[in-house]
Amino acid sequence: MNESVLNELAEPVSRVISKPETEDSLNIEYTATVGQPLCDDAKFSTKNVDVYYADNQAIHDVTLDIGANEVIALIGPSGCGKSTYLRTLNRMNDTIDICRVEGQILLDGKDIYRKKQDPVLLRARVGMVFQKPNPFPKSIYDNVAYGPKIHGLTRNKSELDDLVEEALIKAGLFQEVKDRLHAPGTGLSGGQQQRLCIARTIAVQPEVILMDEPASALDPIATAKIEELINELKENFTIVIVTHSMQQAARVSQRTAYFHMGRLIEVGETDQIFTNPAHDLTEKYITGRFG
Amino acid sequence: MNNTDIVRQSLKKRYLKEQIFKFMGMFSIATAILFLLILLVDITTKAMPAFSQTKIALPINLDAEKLGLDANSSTESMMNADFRLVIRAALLEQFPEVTKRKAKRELYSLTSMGAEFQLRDMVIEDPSLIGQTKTIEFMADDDVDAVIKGSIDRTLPESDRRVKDQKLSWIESLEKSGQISTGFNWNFFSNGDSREPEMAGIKGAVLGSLFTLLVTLALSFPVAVAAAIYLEEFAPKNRFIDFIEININNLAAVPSIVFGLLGLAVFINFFSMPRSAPLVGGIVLSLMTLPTIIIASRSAIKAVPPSLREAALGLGASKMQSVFHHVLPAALPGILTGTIIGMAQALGETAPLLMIGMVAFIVDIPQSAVDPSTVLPIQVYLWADSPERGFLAKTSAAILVLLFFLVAMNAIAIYLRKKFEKKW
Amino acid sequence: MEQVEFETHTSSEYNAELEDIRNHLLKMGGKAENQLRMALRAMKEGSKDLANELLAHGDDIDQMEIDLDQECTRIIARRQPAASDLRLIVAVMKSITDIERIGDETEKMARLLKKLIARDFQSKYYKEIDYLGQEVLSNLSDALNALARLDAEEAIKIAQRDQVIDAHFDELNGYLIKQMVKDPNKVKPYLKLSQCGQALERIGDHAKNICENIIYLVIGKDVRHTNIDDVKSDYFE
Repeated sequence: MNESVLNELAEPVSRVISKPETEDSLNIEYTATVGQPLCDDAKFSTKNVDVYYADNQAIHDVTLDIGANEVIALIGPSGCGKSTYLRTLNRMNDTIDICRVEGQILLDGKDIYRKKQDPVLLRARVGMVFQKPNPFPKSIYDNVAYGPKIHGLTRNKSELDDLVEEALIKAGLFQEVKDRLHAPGTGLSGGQQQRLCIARTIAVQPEVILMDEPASALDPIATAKIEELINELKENFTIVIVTHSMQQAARVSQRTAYFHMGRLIEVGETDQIFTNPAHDLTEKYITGRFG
Repeated sequence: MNNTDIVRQSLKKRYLKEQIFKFMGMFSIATAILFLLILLVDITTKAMPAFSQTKIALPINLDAEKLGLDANSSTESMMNADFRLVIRAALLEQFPEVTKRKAKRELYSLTSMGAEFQLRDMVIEDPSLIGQTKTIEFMADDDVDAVIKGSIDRTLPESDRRVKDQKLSWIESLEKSGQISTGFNWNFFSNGDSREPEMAGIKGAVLGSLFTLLVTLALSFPVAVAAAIYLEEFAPKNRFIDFIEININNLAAVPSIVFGLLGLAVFINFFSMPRSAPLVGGIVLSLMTLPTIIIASRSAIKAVPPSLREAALGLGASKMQSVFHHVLPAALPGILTGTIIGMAQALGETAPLLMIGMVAFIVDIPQSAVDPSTVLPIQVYLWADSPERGFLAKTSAAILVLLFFLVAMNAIAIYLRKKFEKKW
Repeated sequence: MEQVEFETHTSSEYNAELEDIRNHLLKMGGKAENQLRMALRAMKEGSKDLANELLAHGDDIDQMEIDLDQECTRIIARRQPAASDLRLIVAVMKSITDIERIGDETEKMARLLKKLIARDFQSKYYKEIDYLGQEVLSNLSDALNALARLDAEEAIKIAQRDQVIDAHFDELNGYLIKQMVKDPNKVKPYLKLSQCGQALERIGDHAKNICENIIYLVIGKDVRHTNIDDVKSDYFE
């Protein structure tokens, strides 16, 4: 065998060039976002967004476009600000007194933090699905009908019935629950509950659906069903999904954004992020070197 | 020695400690149950006599002449007629040997003071009775009642006995002829208070308590729930709100008599509201119950998972909608439980009501929240203060009634909690 | 992406597994390199024994390929590798196919040589083929070195050198065809010589493939079927 190869075997290259992982070595490289944060037909367009909790800055200067009818996954280690960022998109952070948002967030070109913007109207346009399935302690029917009812989307009972059925069908739940629409929603299995929550959100006919780790409390089969559902929903909705599962991000999204310590490190096509990330931190995170 | 042995050695000690702790727990529970049983048994046995009443059957000649009445007399003249005369005549007929004035007076006291009113009411109901002779059961006097029930010992020497030999012999002769009977004392539940133990009933106090509680509930529940919702869901987090919160907690610890003084000074003296009225009592008690309900409601609202609020907000519900459609129904069991605990507290409260005059002796049964009345715990206090033997049993019986209402209210609290409780 | 590291995963077992397949790959490459060297010596010395020895060990590389394939499959199933880890596995799986083919080509050469030696065929073109062989050997050796060092820049240079080998082989083939035309009785041995040259040219191609895999692994760009000079100017200049 070639001598130089033998030498290499005795002393692998990687050992020579690898350096110990310290906080410093992780924190030094905060440059501008790598990749393509902007896109042509942006539904949401966020520019230089900072979010503070009291004096604590949770999001640093995030600029990111979310294209119409795309599924974009936000990934990153715990506490990286991806959920906080998600919640600025439908002003769920308004409910937290100490939370302050700076910068510009445009939905269809209009600033959602402008004075005239009603947060209630915004949330009817930008629906949200949460980490833990949280159906109301009411019947399946009432869960789905609640949104249309409070917004007055239907004129009579039969219209409402149709809307509920349509939402349940779109959420892939109708076949399973059609015989017990008036049974309590909390009696369903975890995966069914989450799909009920999605049905409830679709029933309001939003333009964007935000999902905050929608499958983290579910088993793999239920997770697969949710992912399949996301795939079908992207025809009609723009979906922003925060997930801890990198495989899930890889499976469902077209674009992936990597957050780290409140900064948007890299955005790109999901294929590219998972085979050849441009930023060292992204690489380290998705190959399981920290996080 | 390896680890297993060390662990095994310490095990014995640990299990012993556990055993001791369990035993101590069971001991304290057993002690509590024992005292509770003693209390209940004592009260119940003491109260039993109050639920039965001794009666004397007398053949009464409703002599029209003696009464100065006939079948066509007006109700008013009947009201004014002296029915004592015919009862006394009947008693004299039974014991013709009594001739002395003093002995006669003693004889007349065999029946209750209420006997004449009983007869009057019968006649007013059916005027055709006038001129007839009829055997009628009259309430016996409390002394007779005591002798029959055995609370006065007949074997004691005369000097130590409240009922003297002569009276005792009459009672025994009536007993022999089968004219004395005992029955369930309906009067206890249908009469108001009275100076005479055999006539005293609890209805006035029960209704007084009921009116007071209704006023308390109507005032404190909406105010307290509204305050709790505002503080928990809408209030900004600032110094002023913190100050209010602290003071609500302080208010819960204020001695209740202070609320009574406040009621006296503000509602009666300043606003000139009626004294002794359930209305004022209810207002004072609602001041006292407010902090309890606010604190209970706030913790019930706080316990509603935030995911429920987020779900509603995420669908585009307004803050108000999310609170009233989702948070409040979910918190309702807790709020109702807190309310009923507050109500039970109000039901048992005495001190503040003393200050606003609800301690008065009131014979009439209250018809509304502004009629003078008393309440159950004060009735207990009043009867416990009375010297007559018969009131001892009445006191215990009133306590039993009060306890019954408390238990019933707690049962309702548990029922409501179970009914409205939903899993999420 | 200047460096690719395999040692800093949170899971130390994963580190060891990746290190293992890398080591096995290098070992397999070394084996193939050795076989090529042996084939060239057999030709130079006209030694039938060396050719036989080479053929006797032919299965070793096949077995190594199977083992490495299994290891890679297992890592994919259990670790779901991403980014550089994923590219490493893909590059390894492709490279082992190339190395196995190199082994096959050396065996083919050994069989051809045995027949030529048996006929005691003499030609001045042995030297030419040996010259071609030395070039191929140095390319393969450098490619394996670059693989060990994950040196994409070096890999590009080696890949460029394959053009030289191809030109060299074409030239040699031309001479051999002329010889066949000139001396029709010796068409068969000359054809065998030509086949030997072709085997070497194929080994050169496989070495180039390995270089392309290294480039894919390090910079994440598939450079197959593209102009290698463009790649070089795009990524390294």
